[in-house]
Amino acid sequence: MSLVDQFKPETSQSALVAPSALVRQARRRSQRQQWLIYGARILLVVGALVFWQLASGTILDASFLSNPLAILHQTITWLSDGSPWYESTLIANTVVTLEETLLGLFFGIASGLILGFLFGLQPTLERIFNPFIIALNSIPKIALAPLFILWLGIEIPMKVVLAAVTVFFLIFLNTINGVRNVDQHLVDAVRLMGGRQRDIVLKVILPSATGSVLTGLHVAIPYALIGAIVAEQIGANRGIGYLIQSSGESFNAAGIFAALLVLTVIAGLLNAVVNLIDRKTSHWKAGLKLHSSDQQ
Amino acid sequence: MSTVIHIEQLSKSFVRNDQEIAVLRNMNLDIESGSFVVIAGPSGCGKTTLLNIVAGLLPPSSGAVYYKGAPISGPRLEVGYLTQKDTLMPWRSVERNVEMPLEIRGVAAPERRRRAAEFIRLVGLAGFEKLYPHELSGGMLRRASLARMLVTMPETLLLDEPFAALDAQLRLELQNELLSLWSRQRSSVLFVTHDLEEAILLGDRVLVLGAGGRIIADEPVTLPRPRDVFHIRFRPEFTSLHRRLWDALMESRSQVQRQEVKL
Repeated sequence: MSLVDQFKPETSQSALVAPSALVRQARRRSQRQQWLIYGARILLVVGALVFWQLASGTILDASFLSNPLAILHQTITWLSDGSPWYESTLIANTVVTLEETLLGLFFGIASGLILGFLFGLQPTLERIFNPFIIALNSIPKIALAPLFILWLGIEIPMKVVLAAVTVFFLIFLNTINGVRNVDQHLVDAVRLMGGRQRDIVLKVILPSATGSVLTGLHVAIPYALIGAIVAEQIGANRGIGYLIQSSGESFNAAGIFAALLVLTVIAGLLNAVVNLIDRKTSHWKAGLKLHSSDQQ
Repeated sequence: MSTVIHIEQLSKSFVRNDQEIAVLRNMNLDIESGSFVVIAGPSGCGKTTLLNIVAGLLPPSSGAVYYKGAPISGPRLEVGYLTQKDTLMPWRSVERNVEMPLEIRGVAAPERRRRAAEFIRLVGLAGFEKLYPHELSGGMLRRASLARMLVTMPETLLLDEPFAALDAQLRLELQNELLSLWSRQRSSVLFVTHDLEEAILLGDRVLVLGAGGRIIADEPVTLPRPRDVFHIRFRPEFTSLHRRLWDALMESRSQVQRQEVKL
């Protein structure tokens, strides 16, 4: 399928020549399958929305379940409440939540990476701290929220700290793992080249731990958002979490759904960023599975 | 000829499950400079341990290895070591892998690139510079590893069953290329294998190791060079040497097995 296969006479007989009729047919079939799946998804969403709208007020209680048009109406109201759009209820609160999430991610990732590398490279240190780290990690971070409110009040720093603590452990543990799982043979190879400790860390441990760190990052991003939202629901006067909480308290089901919609969009965007980083850093892994059969 | 590697009363033991396992016992060996010495022996006779010690990756338990008179205490830049397992960095392309030893030595980027390109061409990988190790076949991985080892132009080469994992034709092909590369540079070579045909084909001298690294046979190979890897096996000298080494290898095997039973 790639350049590579064409140059590997001993492992591949296919893909040497232009696609045959059979290959073209298989491609067409998988293409058709793809369109079918996209089509089915769109149909499902449209169908659900239409059903929701029609059933609302007849078989479903609109005060509990709201309906798509009411949610749309609520969203527009939040976007046009007199102030310029970028200062409207929806955008202002989104910005607050995003700020907390990103700051939490930043501090959590930075501290997790630094301590993860330190502990990974110093096994004795890790062995001393291990039981305490496990104990701390097993506490649900959300349970710490009252403590952070006590220390920092209900402003932004409290949410940042809660998100950061959640992110920290995910990055920290994955970094230790990545550093620990470095292939000893690769380390020996660098020693044979005359490499010093610095070369081993920079040229072997760092790149080989990247995969594990990224796995941590994948999980950490949604958790940072969860940390920020839950902190806002526990105590805040701004943010998407606060919007959900206050809509709930005033029996505004459409408001809850509209805020959840915004939340979904934020989570989707953050995930897209992770996927982008993933693709940029793991190009050397692409197709690994394809060729696993000719490695011993 | 002068001695390049001098092994004196070398012993190496490992502790495993609270038990001491002696892999090499009081081994003595001299390798002359510029010669191609092959060490053959069954698995478990300590061949790889010996190479790891000579390469400076492992410290001996007692005794010492001298490189040109100086005791070896760590990896030496003038010695190249090709391990059995491919140790190319999976996140670096062929080109960047071959450049790596030069990078560590602080060679400037343009010079690094020029020399890497030269050795990539030499091992027959021209056109594959940008590929990553997972995109290469077994033979190409070996060629890239070979280029990485040769790029610093080491005066002594240590090779640990470098072609063991390849199929028969590819092995012949790479043996042939190794011979032609060696005949150009005439570096000292210590080559480990369990394949006697390979040993005779490549070496000036073939040693068969038994349990604990005891030398059971030490035969010079008088076959003229350049050797034709495809036809040399039909010569009478080849056959008689092969038979003598085979008997030594069988004796070695039974020794190693007895030792394993004792453990």
